[in-house]
Amino acid sequence: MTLTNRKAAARTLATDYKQKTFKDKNLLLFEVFRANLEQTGEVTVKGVSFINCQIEGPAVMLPLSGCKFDDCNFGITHGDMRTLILYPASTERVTGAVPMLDCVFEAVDFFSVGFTGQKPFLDSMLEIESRA
Amino acid sequence: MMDLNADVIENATVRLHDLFYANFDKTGLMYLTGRTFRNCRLDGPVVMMPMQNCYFERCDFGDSGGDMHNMLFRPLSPTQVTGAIVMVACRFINCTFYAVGFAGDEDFAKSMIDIPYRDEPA
Repeated sequence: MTLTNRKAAARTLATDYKQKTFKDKNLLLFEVFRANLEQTGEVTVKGVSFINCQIEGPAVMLPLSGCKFDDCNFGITHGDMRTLILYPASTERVTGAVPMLDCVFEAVDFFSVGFTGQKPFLDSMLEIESRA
Repeated sequence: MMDLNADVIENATVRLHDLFYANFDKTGLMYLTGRTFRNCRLDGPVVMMPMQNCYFERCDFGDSGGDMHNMLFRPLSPTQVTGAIVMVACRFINCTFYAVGFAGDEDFAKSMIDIPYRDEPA
């Protein structure tokens, strides 16, 4: 599937970030975090759906339990999924990443977004390359 | 209003994300180079990747929970990293970091982990 097939042209710049569902939007992940923090006082973005969106960093995402990725383009890897992955040095906690819980990513294009998390999740991302 | 593209930024609270975009809008570059931050609070959430002799003096790296490993990431690829803000030859003097993680190679991680606790008896 190409970017055109994903109706990229139909996407518009998000202006209101206080939403539970984003559809056909270009988003900055930092603004999603900031709006969530202002709205809930929580640093974890919870229960938000992104459908046919482009999500931009620079940011490192920490997908927690209940996150689903379907038909997503994780960005420019030059054929090496390792370029998207940062291993946390600690198994206890991380600093500087954006935690996402129970979020849905459907037909999302990521740009300049790295990923961190527990080994099973990161291993599953590395698997994507082997299926390509 | 603060100029986020100034070579020297002093006594300011800076969102690193805004700093990145101000730099990108001006230069088109995905990294920052040769900047000095003095007496600044630098806010994330961001993962910073200091490169080429970045200099840290009297900095508070934030709440590590007593373990600097909690602040650190190891990029899995040796050649490219995605999502981190790369800072080249930048100076941080008397700065405080909030929600900022750090990515780098083994040598950088060792230099961070060797930082003694501030409240350690002399």
